[in-house]
Amino acid sequence: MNDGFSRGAVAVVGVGTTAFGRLPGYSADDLGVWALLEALADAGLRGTDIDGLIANRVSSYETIAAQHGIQPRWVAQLPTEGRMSGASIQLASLAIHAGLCRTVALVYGNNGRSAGATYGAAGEAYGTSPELTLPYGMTSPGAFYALMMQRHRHLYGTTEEQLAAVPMTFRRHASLNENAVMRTPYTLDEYLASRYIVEPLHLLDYCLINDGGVAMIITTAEAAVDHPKPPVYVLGAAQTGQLVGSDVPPEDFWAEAISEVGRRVLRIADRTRDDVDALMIYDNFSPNVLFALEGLGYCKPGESGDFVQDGRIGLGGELPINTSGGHLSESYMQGWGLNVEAVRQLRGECGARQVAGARTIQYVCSSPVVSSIVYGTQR
Amino acid sequence: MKAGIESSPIVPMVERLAQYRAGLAVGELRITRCRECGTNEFPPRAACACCGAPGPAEWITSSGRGRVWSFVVFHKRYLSDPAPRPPYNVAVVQLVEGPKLITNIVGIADSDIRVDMPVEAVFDRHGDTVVVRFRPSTPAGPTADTPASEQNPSR
Repeated sequence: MNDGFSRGAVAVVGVGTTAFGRLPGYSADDLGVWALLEALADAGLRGTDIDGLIANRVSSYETIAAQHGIQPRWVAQLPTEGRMSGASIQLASLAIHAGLCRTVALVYGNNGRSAGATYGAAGEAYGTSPELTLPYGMTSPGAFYALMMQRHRHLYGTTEEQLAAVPMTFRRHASLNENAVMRTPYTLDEYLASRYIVEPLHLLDYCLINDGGVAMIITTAEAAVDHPKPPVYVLGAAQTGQLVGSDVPPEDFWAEAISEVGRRVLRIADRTRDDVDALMIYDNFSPNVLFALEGLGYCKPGESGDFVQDGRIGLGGELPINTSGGHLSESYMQGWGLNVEAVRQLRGECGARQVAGARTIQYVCSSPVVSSIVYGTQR
Repeated sequence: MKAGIESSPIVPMVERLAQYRAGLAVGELRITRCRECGTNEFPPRAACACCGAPGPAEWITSSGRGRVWSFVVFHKRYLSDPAPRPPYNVAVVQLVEGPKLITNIVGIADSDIRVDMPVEAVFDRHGDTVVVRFRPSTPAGPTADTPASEQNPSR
C-alpha cells in the first residue's frame, strides 16, 4: 500500500509568503490572498489557471477564490489546527493523482497577532473536553507539551540546558533569514533566564504568535516542467492519527505513530533516512523537536537531549533542522512556512542559510495527527 | 424504522458528565468500565476505546488513589476568574484503575511536587460545584514501595 501515492507524480511549482510579524489591518483572508499572489507569480500563473483549491485557517475558501478569479473543479477547507497543513498537502497531491483537478492552490492566512490570539483563552481550550479541564486552569497546547517535557525529564533525565539547543539553533538560523520575525541570537544564560510560561517551558520554547500568510501551487509532474522555477517533487506523503485518549499526553511521546509514518513516507518516496539532507520539524514548542527525532529513529527513546547537542541540528551540521528559524523564530505559520522552506532549500534559493547540495528534505509534524511529506529535486 | 430522541443509541455527553458530577457531589470519583472488555475509561465515551463496544458503559467508583504522571506550573494567566490565578499547578494523575485525569495537586508546595508521587482524591466544594483534586498520600499497593521523599526529583 502506498497511501494512494505514485512517487513524484506531483510537484510544487510555486510558493509564496507574505511579510511576517505584526500586520494590522490585514485579515487572515487578506494574508492568504497576498500569499497566493506571490505563489502564482512564482509559478508564472494566474488565478484563472487554478482548478483546485484548499484553504486553511483563512475564514473562507470562497473569498480566496473570488479574489483571485479561481473557478475550482475541486475545493476543500480544513480546520485551523497546525496538524492540518501536512494533511492539506497530502490531500491536494491525492486530488491531482485521482484526476479531480490538475493544479491546486493551497492557501493559508493567519492574523493571530493582530487578532490577539493567546491559544489558551477559554474559547481556545485544548482537547475534547474543556469543561473537564478548564476548572483546573488547564489550557493551551503549550501546557500539554510542558506536561510531556516534564515526563521526559523524569524518565530520561533530559535537562533544560539540553533542550535549549533546539530554540538557540533555530534562532541562529533565523538570523540568516531576512523575513524572520526574531533574528537576534541569544546565549544559554539568556535562555535560562527567560521567564517560564508554563514551567518547565520558557518563553523561548514557545512559537511566535504573528501575522502572515503562505501559499503553495502543486500540479502534475508533466506540467511542472513548464514553469519558471525547477519543480520540487512531492515524493511521498503519509499520516496517522492517535486520537484516542488525546486529552492527556501520550505515554510514548507519539513515537510509535511517528515511527510508522516516517517509515511509510520514506518507503513511498523510495528514500532512506540517509538520503534526508535536512528536516523540517513542526516546532510549536521546542520539545516537539525531541519527540520527532526519537520517533523517526534518529536516536533511541530518551536520547534526543544528547542528540541535538554540538551543532548536529544546525546549518553545517550532520542534520540541519528548521533552517528558516521555524515557528520558534521565523514565523508561526502552522507548518506551512516549513514546507515552503523545504521547497526553497531544494531550489537552492536560501542564500546564507542554504543547505549545500540539498536533494531530499522531509517535513514531519508530531501531534495527535502525525503527518510527514518528503520533497525531492529528483523523482 | 426508529425515529426520535427516545431511540437514540447514545447518552448525550452533557448527561454523562452530569452522572460524573453527581458522583463528585457525594464524594465519589466515578469512571466508566466497558461492559464487554472491562477497560476503565475517563472521560466517559460513546464506545469503548479499547474494544469498540458501544456504550453506555457501566459507572464504577474509583478508589481515588493514583500517582502523578506529570505536572506543570502555570506562570501565565490565560483564564479569567474563577480559574486559578498563577502560579498554580496542573497535573495529570493516573488512577490505580488506569484512567488519567487532568487535575491540581493540593496540600504541597508546587516546588515539592514530583512525578510518580502517590496521591489521593479530595473533593473541593465551591458553592454548588465540586471538583476533585489530589493530595500526597502514603504509598499503597505493590508498585508503591518507595517513599516519596526518596524518589528521583524530576526537576
